[in-house]
Amino acid sequence: MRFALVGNPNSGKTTLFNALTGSTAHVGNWPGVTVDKREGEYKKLPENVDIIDLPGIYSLSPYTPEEVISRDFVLKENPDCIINIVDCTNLERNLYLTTQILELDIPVVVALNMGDVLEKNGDKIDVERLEKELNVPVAIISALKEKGIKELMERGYDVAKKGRKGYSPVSESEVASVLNELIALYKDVPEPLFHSVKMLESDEIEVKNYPEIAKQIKPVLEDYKSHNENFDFECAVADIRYKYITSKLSGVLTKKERKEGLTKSDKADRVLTHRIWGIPIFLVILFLTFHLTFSSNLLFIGSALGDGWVSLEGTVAEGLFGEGGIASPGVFLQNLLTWGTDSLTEAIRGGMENGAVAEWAVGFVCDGIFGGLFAVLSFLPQILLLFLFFSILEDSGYMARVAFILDRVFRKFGLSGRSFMPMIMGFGCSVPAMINTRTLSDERERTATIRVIPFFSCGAKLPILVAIAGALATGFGIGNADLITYGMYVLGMVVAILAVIIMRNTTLKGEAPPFIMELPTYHVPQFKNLMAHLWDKLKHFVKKAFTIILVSTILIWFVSHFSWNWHYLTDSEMNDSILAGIGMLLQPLFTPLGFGSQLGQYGWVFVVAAFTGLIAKENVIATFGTLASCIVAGFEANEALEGVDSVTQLISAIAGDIETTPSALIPMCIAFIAFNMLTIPCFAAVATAKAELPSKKSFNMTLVFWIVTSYIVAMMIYLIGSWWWTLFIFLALWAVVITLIVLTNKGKINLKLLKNKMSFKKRGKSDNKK
Amino acid sequence: MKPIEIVIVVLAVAIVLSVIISIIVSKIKGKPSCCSDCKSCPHCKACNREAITKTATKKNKD
Repeated sequence: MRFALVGNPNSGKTTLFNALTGSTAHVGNWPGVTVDKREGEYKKLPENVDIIDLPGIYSLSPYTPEEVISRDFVLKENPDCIINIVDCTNLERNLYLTTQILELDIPVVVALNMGDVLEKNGDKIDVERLEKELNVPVAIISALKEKGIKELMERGYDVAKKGRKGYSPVSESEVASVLNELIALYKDVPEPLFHSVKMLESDEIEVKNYPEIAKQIKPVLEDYKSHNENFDFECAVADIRYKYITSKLSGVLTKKERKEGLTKSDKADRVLTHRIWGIPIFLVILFLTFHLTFSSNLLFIGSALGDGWVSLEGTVAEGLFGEGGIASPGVFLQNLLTWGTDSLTEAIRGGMENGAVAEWAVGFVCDGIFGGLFAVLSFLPQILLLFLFFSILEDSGYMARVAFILDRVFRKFGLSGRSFMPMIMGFGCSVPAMINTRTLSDERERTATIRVIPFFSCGAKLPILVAIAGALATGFGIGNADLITYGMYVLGMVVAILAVIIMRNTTLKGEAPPFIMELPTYHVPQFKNLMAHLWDKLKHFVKKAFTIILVSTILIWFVSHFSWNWHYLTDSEMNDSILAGIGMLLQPLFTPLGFGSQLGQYGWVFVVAAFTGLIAKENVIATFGTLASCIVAGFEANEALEGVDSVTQLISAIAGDIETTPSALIPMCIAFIAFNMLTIPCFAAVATAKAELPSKKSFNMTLVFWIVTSYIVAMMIYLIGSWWWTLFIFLALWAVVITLIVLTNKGKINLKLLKNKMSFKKRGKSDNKK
Repeated sequence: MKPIEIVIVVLAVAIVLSVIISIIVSKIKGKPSCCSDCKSCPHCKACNREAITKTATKKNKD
């Protein structure tokens, strides 16, 4: 048997799906989180039942892709029963969809969800009376608290075996005669009542699928309209439905008398979605998220603490809780994990050296494999913590508000809030974010959004940001790690927004489509859901580390310790290796970005790291981890380098080699982060972009877009950071570009005409030469 | 070479080959290679379409 879950967005379908099937589906708080359907199994009935969770919809008319998906499913795949989930705290609006579902010849059970909230509000629903009025089983449930679910499924199972005939309030209205004529025309089609009502509403899909019937009924509809001035069938049907709902609800729903005033959610929204303060508040919340995850000086109270108070010098836990400031939870957990992995590495190194194992084997295992692997794994606590904070923001309902406030500001530039929702999902992973762009009906807006999603740094890019920011902050005392990391995240967002504005005013021109969104009420996220997401994330990260990252570190070590004629090379000879050769060949390309030829003999590591990041972004730090310790082994390290991480070691080694200070390399480091953040994402994201973009040409242009954007932004950061006066040159160049765009849009310049004239001149010249 | 060194080399080769083979096999089966586990992804059906189509076709043939 197959049961379909159908209901409005935020009515609790996915929560019910989780409760029924036991899987850990993602519960988002805005429409579009579940774009496609999900399947599971309910095993507590005499036979197993397949449960299909359809996207949240307001009607079965084709206004959005979600509505088309749900409609196609119920019409073509014939579920045995539809469980219509209704938010009983918002009965009138939810029952609109119910009236359309009841038109199908499919057994229906209405599940009045959020019964616990209704009870809390002091309202009451006469379930038996509603059941009698709608003539289908009605059950009151709380999907969140898993109450009433067994009874719901048992009733669904009973009605599924009996079958049902559809009913529509339109068949008892003033247009019943027209409806009956349509039903007669649909005699050979399943679900004639449903199709007839849709044809009456001049539904797009209905007219397209049944053009003959549309042609036959047209004179009847015109005739009816001619006898009723200003009559519109679509409006009439909607009106009939709402009158039906109102008539059924009177006497069913008893609301408790309430004082006039704002709800708690409304009060919170007055502040959080404020016209002026909404975006600054979002930026502050984002900063706090990063501060709690990456800061080595929590709440910036380090200077007020006594020396040695936090660092616990001379003890086993030295440095664990921070040095010079209290470590944030993320940094503390990272220190703990690093302490564990360092101890393990040293224990194994000691064991191998005592066992007189060859130097190459010790280097391969301890510096190569462990160096690379643990360099990535050490970021696991921070990745999980950041993911936890974003999940809290999303599940609480706040992220939906972010899309709303950004829509207000950026609509003027051709961006709608609806496109920000997939972008914000990109903070987790680009792949589902790109797939989520299917909610965007405008193809050009969708293409622009897919292109900029990777700019919202996903979890995999976090190690790059944190490692380099951490190296600058803790290794060389330059800036704060959390501020640098936060700044780079904001940079990614700013570049994304600017890029979309440029695209929407040039190659992907268009106006921002209307954006209607239901803001869910705020609520405390479920601990169980949050832990389930974290567990999934942890499993995936560890699996990726011990597969792709591990293989990458092995291969990187191998090609960095063998020359082109397959001779083994010691650490100090690494510059003669295959990997160094490839890196040095490509190094000049990155000179304008700061990590090219100017970094001397070890700069190739940055180039190689950027390329290994194409496989998986975590590989960038794994590469540093594998190679940096080998490089430093070729140096006489000074005491200041003790206990610092691979990136810091590498930066120090390079600074020493090219006879400059580490602080002089800051613009290069920031440019390197920017390049990796904005360039071609991992292979999985590239494959998804290829599948989601409309054409091969569009995909190729997207690849070019990523390369060009990352190159230009990184170059600007390096050049302006190193020579401040170049800022004016770039400002002038951008002013010219923007002027050209504005003039072209206003029709003052016709670039196509210019192009044609130029090619005509060229042809003219070559003809003259002949 | 000492036995431990041989074991290290063999293990390294085995790890590399097994991971590469499993990635290729997953690709052929149409399994997703994205960052998140399917359980927590609302789009798992979309990713798995190819695999499901292939599996369904195979089942029908059987």
